[in-house]
Amino acid sequence: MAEQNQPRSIPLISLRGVSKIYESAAGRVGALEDVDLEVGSGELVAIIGKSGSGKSTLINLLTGIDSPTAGQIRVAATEVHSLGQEALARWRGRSVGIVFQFFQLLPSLTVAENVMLPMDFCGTYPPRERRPRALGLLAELGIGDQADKLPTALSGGQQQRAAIARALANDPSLLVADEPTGNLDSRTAEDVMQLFAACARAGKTVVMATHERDLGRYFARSVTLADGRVVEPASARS
Amino acid sequence: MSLAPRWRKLLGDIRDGQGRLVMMVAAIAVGVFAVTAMSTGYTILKREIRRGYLATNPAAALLEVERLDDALVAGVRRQPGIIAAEASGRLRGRVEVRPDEWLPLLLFVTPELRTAQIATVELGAGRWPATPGEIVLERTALPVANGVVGGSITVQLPTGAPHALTITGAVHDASLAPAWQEQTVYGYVTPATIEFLGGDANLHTLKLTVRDPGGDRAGLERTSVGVAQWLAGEGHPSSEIRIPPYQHPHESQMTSVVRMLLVFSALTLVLGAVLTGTLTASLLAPQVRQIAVMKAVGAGSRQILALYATLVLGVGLAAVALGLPLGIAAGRALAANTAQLLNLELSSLAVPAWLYVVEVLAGVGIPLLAALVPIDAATHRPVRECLAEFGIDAPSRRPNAWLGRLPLLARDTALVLAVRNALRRRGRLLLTLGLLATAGALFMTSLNVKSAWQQNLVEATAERHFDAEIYLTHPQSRATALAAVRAVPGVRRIEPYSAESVAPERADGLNLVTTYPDGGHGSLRLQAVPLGSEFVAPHLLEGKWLSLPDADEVVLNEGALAMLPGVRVGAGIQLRVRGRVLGARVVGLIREHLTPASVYLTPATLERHTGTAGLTSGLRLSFERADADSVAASIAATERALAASGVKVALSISQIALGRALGGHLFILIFILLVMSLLMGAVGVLGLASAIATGVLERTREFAVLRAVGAQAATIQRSVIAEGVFVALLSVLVAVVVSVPLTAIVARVVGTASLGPALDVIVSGRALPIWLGIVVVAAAVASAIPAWRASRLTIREALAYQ
Repeated sequence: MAEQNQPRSIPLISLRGVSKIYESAAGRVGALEDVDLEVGSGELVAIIGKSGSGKSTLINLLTGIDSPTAGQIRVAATEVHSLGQEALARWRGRSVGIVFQFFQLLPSLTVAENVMLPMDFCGTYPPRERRPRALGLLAELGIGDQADKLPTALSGGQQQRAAIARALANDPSLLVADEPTGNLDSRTAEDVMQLFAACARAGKTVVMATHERDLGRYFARSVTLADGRVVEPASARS
Repeated sequence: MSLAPRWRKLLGDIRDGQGRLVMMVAAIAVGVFAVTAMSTGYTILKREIRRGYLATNPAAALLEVERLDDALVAGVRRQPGIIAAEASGRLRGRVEVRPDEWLPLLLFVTPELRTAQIATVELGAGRWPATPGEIVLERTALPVANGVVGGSITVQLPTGAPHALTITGAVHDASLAPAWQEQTVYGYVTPATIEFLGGDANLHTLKLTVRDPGGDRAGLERTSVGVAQWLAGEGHPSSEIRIPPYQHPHESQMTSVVRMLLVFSALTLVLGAVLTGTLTASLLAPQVRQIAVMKAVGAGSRQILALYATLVLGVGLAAVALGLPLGIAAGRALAANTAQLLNLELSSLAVPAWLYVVEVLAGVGIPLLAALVPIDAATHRPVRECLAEFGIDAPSRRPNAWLGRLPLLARDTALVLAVRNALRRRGRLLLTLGLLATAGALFMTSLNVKSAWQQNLVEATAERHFDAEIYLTHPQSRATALAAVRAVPGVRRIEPYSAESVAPERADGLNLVTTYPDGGHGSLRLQAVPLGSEFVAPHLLEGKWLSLPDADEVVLNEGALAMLPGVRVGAGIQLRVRGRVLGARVVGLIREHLTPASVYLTPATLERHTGTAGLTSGLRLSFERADADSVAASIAATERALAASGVKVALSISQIALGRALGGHLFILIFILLVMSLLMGAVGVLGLASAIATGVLERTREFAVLRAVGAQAATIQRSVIAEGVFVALLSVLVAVVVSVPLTAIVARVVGTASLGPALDVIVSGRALPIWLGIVVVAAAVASAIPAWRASRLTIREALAYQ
């Protein structure tokens, strides 16, 4: 199976025998079982599957939001599975941009402040450069004029653009998105997908969980999950 | 430079959580206020009571000698260890405070009042007496004697006729308890005035000061005994050596009571801090996802912890800014009030700076520590778990299925939900219960102690089935005295009664006691009461009451037992009375309320040992009518009858006057306890409101589901309010249990502070219903707002809640 999940370029992400089991009142539930996966730099890869297939678990493990029960996860030179929570937070802030289905912008901060937040926590840019950088990112994503509004004043598409700008704030090499278009209408979803495609063209690796096969044309590769296992390793599009 | 986004986020949280933050500030401010008030009061009082006492240059020891002259005093000054010595006198008499109504008078005699060096008093008004027939009174004695500076009072010594004395001034004697508390008038006169009153003008009390008087007690005893032996060698034996505890008579009581209040105030601060913890948890409850998002975009747990710790730090500082000045003012007021109770002059209301520093650190630090628990928990929750929170928690333990089968709950799902929700978050329930139960326990303790104190007074009265005691100038014919009084109309019953001052016998034969300068505090009394007395109702703790008319048997009360170390029922004791040794066996131990340390024996035994056969030194009487006016009139008639029979009266004291002395001054303590319990109650109710509000927030989606399946707004309201009331009822149960040992502790402190054993542990009949009413109503009101909010949410809003 491993050779079927090979990237077309130098691998940025490498998962080896990754499993995740949750303990619950109902017993042990296997969310992922023995997953091997590699994603190359600059790839735009879709993780596809039905609800409960393990997509979100895989995304959570990739971003260090959750830790594997077994297996190894390496992103660039970082052994993600071996990091503690503080180290994970630092690594995530500097190296990974995360985009959520429900945007998850902090409601009490303006759009620009939301974008500045990762720079603030990680200290990646000098304070005086943070706002200009946030405004620049927002302008690139076409919502520069919304910078000083609160998130609730923005449409869903605009909020997701803001969330992407926040994910790009620290210029990470990896963008991870969990159903980023799941809460958007089809036209807005297309716009958002074009932004992700642009990011990939700019050299960033993009891994996205989605169940919308209509968007398949944007992905260089698709990995299909079912019951926690990779069942359809690759797609043919470029 | 503009504020960093994380701090802007914090400002946003402050804006959104204003209500909770105000509650936090209020809760901590209440604690800071209480601690500051008590510690300020304690620090001032502790310092001032010591300073005031030491400023009088108190005598380390006092020796009673038949007659002192200048040469003898000069000789004493040369004895080893003696710093200074002065001759003085102390006499007991009486003063007429209303026509035919007399109170005890304690006269301190000094040849030159203005130049006295030992046990000095400070002239506050008027002038020193210059001629015979003049007196200065202790300032607290003026109202007791119904006198004014420039006016006159009628005074009588046991050996003389009543005389009017001019009050030339008022002094402050920091070594004495206030006159109104003791119902004794303190006067200061020269020997010339004693002569004018018909008394013995000779000075007989030798006041000594020594090196390190407050230090080595054994050394002080050796020095005093050395002086007594030297005096004996000079032909002037000492009839009594008094080594009073080197402190104000009420210092130890004041210290223990204020310390207890200090502990309770610290408890208030801890409760406030715990509330801060629960409020912080409720503040963070809606932030769970936002914290997760911040962590997802790179925030470390420590960064988020620092963010919210700063918030709590700010809250603590605001609370300190509010509570500290109010606490200082209240503490100073407490000190001033207590100083008045203790007859203290406060030279300064200053408090050392370190105390403020400690209070600020406690006010900021303790709540911060309490808040760090939920902050730490929130910041360390896994990001995945927080992002996946749906607002419908699975119970962490088994879901108490049996609750639904209880007959009371089975018919109402809202009640089942209320009880299950209350039990769902065990940690939060325990905190809320802790807050409310502690407040309830203290409230009930306050009322219990108040009841016990009232019961104490009732029992003290019940133990004394007489209306008045008449002390004679010296032992006189019992038969004559009884015959004289029997003819007095209104006298219901009369019994002979004798009381003597005694001391444990020592190997050197000296009479050494620890009585205070007022002659009352710290004294041990021998009381002779007839067998079958109707005036004494002993509450026997051990052994038996006196049963043989003339046997060497004595019964002790608990106060006496405490003063005679090593003595127990069945043991023999040797006492020195009137210069003779009285050996007896202790046959019983009794409990008495508001009575000094006493040793009881029969009149025949006392007479045999003191050579006073057929004599009595006093009488006890009951009258047909026991109101104040009737008692005063009957006492006056009795005294006239005794005088007509040649029996000389030194002093008469009615039980009503004694009741005035014992009555009210501990109510200040109970009042403070009540105020403190209500402050704690307020903190507890805030805690309950916060816990319910947090629960409602966490269960927003659950309410939406309930609404979606048909629950009406009223059902949700009923469920939330019932949850609050259920927690309140649980807290009352805990409070009742906790209040019993707490009452015992406070009763012990209060009992010791009021001349006797611990107060009885009485459960006030009113305490439980009052607290139950307060807490249930408060819980219902505190739950009503979150209940209303929960019921107002639309299903769409609630399901969309993040």
